Amino acid sequence: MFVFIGVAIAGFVLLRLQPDVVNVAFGSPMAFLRFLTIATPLLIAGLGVHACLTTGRILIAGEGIYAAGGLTVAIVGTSLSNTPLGLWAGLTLAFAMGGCVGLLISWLRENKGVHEVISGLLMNYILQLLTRYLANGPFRDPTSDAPHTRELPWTLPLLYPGADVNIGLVTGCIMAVFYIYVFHKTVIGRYIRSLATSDGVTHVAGLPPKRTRIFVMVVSAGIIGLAGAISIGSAGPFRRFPSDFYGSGVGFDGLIIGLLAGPSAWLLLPSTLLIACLSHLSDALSLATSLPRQVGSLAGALLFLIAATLRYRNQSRS
Amino acid sequence: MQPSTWQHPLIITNIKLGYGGIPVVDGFNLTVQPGEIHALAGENGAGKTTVLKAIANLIGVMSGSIVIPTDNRDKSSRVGFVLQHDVLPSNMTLGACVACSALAAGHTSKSQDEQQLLSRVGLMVSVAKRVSELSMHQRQLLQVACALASKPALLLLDEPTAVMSHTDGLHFWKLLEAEVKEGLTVVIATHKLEDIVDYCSHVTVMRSGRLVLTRQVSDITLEEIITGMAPVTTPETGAQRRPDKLISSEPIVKMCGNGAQLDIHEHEIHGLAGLDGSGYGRWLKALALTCQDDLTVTVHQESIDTKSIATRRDMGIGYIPADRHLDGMVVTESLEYNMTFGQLPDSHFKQWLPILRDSDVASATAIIDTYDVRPSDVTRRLDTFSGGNQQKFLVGRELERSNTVMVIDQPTRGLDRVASAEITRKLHAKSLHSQTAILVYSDDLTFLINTCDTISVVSNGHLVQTKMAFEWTEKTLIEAIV
Amino acid sequence: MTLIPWLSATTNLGIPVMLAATGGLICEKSGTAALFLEGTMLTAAFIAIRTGGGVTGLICGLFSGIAVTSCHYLLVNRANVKDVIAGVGLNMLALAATSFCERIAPSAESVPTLSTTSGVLVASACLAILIACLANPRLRLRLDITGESALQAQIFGINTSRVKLLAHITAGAIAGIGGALLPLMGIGTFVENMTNGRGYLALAAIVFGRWDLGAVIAASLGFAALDALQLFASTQGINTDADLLSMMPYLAGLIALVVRTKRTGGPAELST
Repeated sequence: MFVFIGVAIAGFVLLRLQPDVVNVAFGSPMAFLRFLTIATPLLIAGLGVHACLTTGRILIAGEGIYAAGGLTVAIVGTSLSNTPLGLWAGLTLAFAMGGCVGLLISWLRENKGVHEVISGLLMNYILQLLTRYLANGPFRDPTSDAPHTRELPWTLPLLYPGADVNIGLVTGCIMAVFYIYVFHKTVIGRYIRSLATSDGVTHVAGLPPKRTRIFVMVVSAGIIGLAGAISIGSAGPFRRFPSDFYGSGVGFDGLIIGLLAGPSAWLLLPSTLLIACLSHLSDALSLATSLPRQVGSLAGALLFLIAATLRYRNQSRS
Repeated sequence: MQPSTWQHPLIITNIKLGYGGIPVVDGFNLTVQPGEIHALAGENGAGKTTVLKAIANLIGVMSGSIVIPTDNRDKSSRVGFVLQHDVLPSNMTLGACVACSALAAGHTSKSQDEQQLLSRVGLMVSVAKRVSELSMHQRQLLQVACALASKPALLLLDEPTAVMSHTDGLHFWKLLEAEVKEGLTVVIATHKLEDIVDYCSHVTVMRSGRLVLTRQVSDITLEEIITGMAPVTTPETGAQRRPDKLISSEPIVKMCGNGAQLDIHEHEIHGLAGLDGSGYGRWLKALALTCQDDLTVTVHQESIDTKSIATRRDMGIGYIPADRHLDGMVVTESLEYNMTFGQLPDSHFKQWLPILRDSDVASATAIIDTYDVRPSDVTRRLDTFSGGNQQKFLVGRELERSNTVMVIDQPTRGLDRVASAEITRKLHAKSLHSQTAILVYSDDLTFLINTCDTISVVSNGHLVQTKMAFEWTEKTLIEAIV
Repeated sequence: MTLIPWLSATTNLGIPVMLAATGGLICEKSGTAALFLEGTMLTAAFIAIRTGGGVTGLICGLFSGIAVTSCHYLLVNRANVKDVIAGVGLNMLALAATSFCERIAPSAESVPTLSTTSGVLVASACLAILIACLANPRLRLRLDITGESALQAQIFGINTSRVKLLAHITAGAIAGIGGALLPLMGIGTFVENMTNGRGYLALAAIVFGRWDLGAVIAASLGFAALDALQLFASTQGINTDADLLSMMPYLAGLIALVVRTKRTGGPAELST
């Protein structure tokens, strides 16, 4: 709660100091819709990270998975451009791609004891370089000088004509509601959440803890891959995967959202809106002033540390 | 090993101690003179462990003072502490542990000194062995060796003989008496009232975090100690009067291992006795959890060796684990929240339906009333309850389910005599009124004799002897176990 | 084809990674995961260039490393933040802060550098001091038991906070030197995200080396050798995609973690 109050105060100060920034960010309906476009993948990524955090695992490979999902839909979509299946195949395979990465990371952790943060961070670098190589190499658009894939022949259904806000936002909201229901209102959710502290409770009841954690991480990583696909499949002049797509910050922002929300899933939506605001405002700040966009990353990193401090402050180390 | 001697007493004045701002000990006073073996007695939740931790400087004091005489060294290096549940470093060698304790206290340490000290405490094991290779009671002895290596003036012990056999216990007390003769002062928290009478010089009785009495042992009787611990309810001592019940001739559980057979009938309470490391755990796990090597189990003539834990629960095989914190409950949640755990809903679909909170509240309320869990608030977090009350809740939660078979590991761990007697009564009622077959392990032999119909002894993984409970005495049971 | 350019590149890349790994090892031995290595190296590299390079830059890099790890110590031991989270957070902050500063005011294009020989001498001196400290049973046992069972260490009367603080300072100093040597033995300037994951490779080397000093040094040099392949290939005119070659050390790190079955030797207090 203090974080939200603090950021609100900072926002108010910003409004007074740089009214142009807020105008650029929220001064028009299209600007607001742009904000929602930014918020959509963040909500889904935050959801995935939060689900893993409740089982005591940290999904830090979100950045790489997001890129891998985007590249998957670009490749599949352009390969199956002659059939209407291209859209669904692309989204499904993007989910599957993310799930595979999550499966690898989770399997390493549960069966080999390799910490998911270490393997996740290495996977980020591997996926960054791999997606860059593929988008700039075998799957590069031969008709263009710029390093990106071919244009997708379709877009995801739009929520508002002329803007990028698409069905992904609705999907994200439905996922969030389902997630809150399962994790807070059902027996299976309570067992999954007990994994944050100990395996014994689920083990004794007959729910295999390792398999459960793997399942949660596979689904979480899958939906982050799906978020990447939604991002690439949205409307706009460039329905392509650029070779420098990695580095959008969605993965790490998702981690901040997951931490900010704390143990309760109810704070996921306000956390998402907060981080989306930060991202959107930093874009606007760089447009309105001479400050580089990295000011947003700096604020995000500080927010990450503050959120982490607040989340774990009252938990003593066992 | 020559400890230094004090000239002045340990003085605790009006201390208040607690966890997370909640006091568990208040207005407590204690004076321990040099050379005493001072026992702390009290029922669960009395605050004995908390007081010991405060003296050892492991927790802070909310108010009041603790004055430990020093000899110009840091006081913590003059106080040795043996925990009830050790936290020894599993990957380190015994020699490294002992050396670490000595060096931290400012003494030197050589390998032969370390080996000598281990032998002195009764640990006939090489210093090069790792802590992970020791049994529970060997780890307890290692704790004692480490404490003595620091040449303390004061030794604090929290239930040190809880996991020791009778013989090891005798050796332990001999060692303690020898050290006290050389100047050591001892404060020991123990449930074993006979040990207090036999070996201690003084006793302090605590109840609900407060001081009840402090006397010389020679000036007090066992009954007075018991009365001081729990004056309202007089615990029943000795053998329980057991209601009559029929035990069917055909066993519903058959366990075979290494040429021996263990049968459990409907309405029967079958006890398992054995030392730590004897392999009793395999018999419990083979029935409640997963298949164990060389053990086969059938329930109602159906083999369960390949059955998963979830299937066993569905078949009505319930389980109360020994470690409630890790396996039984989520202690950061409330009592009514914890009603969810222990067993999954019988249908996979039901796991995804909304939880009915009212139902959980009603069930939890029934349990706390029946089992006298205090305080009686189902919305309170479990970690704000004492260990004994947590255990009562856990046992109550599982016993209230309708199961064909119950496997219970250490049901009276952390419970005092009053609560243990209550558990005995509940188990008798369960076996009498339902068709449940119960397999129970406890290191409390009195509890086993009072509660069970049949008792089997496990040693080296083998079932060595099975007799009706009335055919056993504590002495013969100890002899069979050892 | 001569291998000398490859060996030279391996040395220039290997020494920073090796120093980061050995520094991180001390911290891990005390029971705290050393996720902060990436941010520590990056900050030290940045400070080393900004303070003029050379020996001054090296010393400033050392102190900046200590500053980063001291922040980590405060977050973990005073604010009770999980060590992996604190490490990742500090890495994010270091990346954002150094990138931001580079955008506002870019670093000098060239500062006085150190020769490979100087780098090797500095690294050897660091290792020699470290080995001498670890040979002292009083220091070694305090470090070990704090990492294996902090509560037991407290029962013995050991001030575990002090042990962890010293471990953090040591880690920061050595990793800071490693981070400073990255540009000082290399291109002589700072570029954004200069470390590019080498801190995580150092961490993988610790795990792969099973927390044994000799094995950790060998593993980190091995990863550096793969890292140097990309530079080597470009100088030899080998036509292989730079991204694929750059991927090799990270892939090797992941495979190394996979190959190491059952984590033995890791301090029990370590959350990773």
